Amino acid sequence: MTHAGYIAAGWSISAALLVSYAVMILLRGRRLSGRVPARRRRWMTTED
Amino acid sequence: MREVLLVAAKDLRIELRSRVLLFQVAPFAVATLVLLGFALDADRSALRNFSPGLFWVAVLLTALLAAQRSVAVEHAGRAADALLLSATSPARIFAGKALALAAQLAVLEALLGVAMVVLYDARVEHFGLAVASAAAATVGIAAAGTLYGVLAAPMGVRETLLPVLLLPVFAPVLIGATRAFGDALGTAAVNGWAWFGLLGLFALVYAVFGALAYGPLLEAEA
Amino acid sequence: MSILLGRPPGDRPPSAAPGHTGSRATRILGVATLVGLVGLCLCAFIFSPPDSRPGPEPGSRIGQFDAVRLMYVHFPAAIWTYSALGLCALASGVYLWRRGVWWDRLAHASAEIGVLLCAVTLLTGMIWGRPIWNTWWEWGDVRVVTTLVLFLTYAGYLALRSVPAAPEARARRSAILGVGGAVLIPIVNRSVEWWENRTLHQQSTLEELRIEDLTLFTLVLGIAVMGVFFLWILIHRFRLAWLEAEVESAGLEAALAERRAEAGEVAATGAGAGGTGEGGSAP
Repeated sequence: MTHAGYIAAGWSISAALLVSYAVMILLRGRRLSGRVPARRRRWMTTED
Repeated sequence: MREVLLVAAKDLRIELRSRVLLFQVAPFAVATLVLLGFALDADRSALRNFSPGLFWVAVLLTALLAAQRSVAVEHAGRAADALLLSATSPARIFAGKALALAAQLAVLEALLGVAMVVLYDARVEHFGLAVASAAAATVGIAAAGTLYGVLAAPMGVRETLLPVLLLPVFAPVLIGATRAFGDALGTAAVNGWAWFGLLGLFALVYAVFGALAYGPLLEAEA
Repeated sequence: MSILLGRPPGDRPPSAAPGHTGSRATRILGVATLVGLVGLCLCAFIFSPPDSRPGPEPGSRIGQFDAVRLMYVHFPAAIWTYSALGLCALASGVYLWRRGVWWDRLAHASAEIGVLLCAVTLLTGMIWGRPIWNTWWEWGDVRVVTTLVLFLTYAGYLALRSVPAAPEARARRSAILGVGGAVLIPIVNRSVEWWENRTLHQQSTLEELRIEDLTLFTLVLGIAVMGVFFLWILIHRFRLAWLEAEVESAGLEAALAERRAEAGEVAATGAGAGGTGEGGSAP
């Protein structure tokens, strides 16, 4: 494979950015969820 | 129209009394040109070739200061409230403040223009093109500066926030004005009047956008 | 629209479910993203061919070779950058028109994701440009320069949003800035296009890329996978913005209640000392 280093760098930097952002969003969502009553979180349903 | 002139005259009168423009902004502008000269190793031909770009970089940095001033005078003494109470329409307030800012910028540009000729050995070949494109660029800068100045105004972080918001907006002005001046100063073989058209378009777009957006903005302040 | 926030609460009993921003919709999208990502990796690294074609000299080959595999990230990221920031401008415009907090939060969520995708676009573009254009940065390409200005503009938008302010005033300022970005970008694009014409314009390599069937399929698959991911993270980010606003207003109410309680106490002691019984007017 030509340009293997560039390809690895490009894919891994992108993956690292997107995954770390997603993890950050999910964790912050979990932390803040605890501080908002369930009836104000409209997407929460009991059957979920 | 009378109201526009009244608002503009108010800003200019404050500026004349405080002398911030004369004693702080103008020396900053010239110091910027001198520093840029150092950066290019004071190479005479390089300075002359790059003088359009250096000139406009200095103008835009100076415009940041002037735009901050233009908002600061409203906040000191709560002049904005008085303006709102006066029932002048937001679009006219915007036009008046942009006009005052444009007038100040024009003075600074004239000063910088002389400094450019003296320090960088620039030669103006097409005076009309230089004046016309500088006027169009100035109106655009003043309109964008007035609008974004209020956007970044009331939060105690104006000094750092305004440049972040405003410098990307200035990108097309820097490109257009540099190319137009390149033609006017004979350092680039381009059609300067086409670039003048682009600067005019920018000025028009931001004047209209600013006039429309100023009302909701002032409400947000109040 | 209701996918962002879910159904209205109605008469549902209060939920004892664990606190997070997920729902059935996000779980489906999340699984679809992961499945799609596996498929994309297979197509991008194994099935799709490297880009090469016969060169001018006999026996030689030219093209991007395996560097084309970077395009399967770069191109979808670019498409969804423009979509996300366009969505931000659109939501900002609707906010100024209709004044719904929905639109403000949608603008916030899409701007943040758009800036992130823009960073991915710029980084992968530079990493691709180094071997193919022989430079990290190509000033001669309109899209490259315009995308950088776009990145700076909306990074400024996020900077404005991060400054504490009254929610209503912040929403209005942000909305104007969001629309302003959409006003600015066509002008920047135009000016850069004229500007770079003074040099020999390097033709965009993407246009001369001879796209094979499987290459094209992989690009489209990449756009689809990135789109599903975008929707997934957008819903989560939107709900996070919703939570942030709830916490902010709850904090404000708590502070107000505290103040009122203090005022009430002061008033009550005042009333007790004075004995007039009028001091308890504070609720």
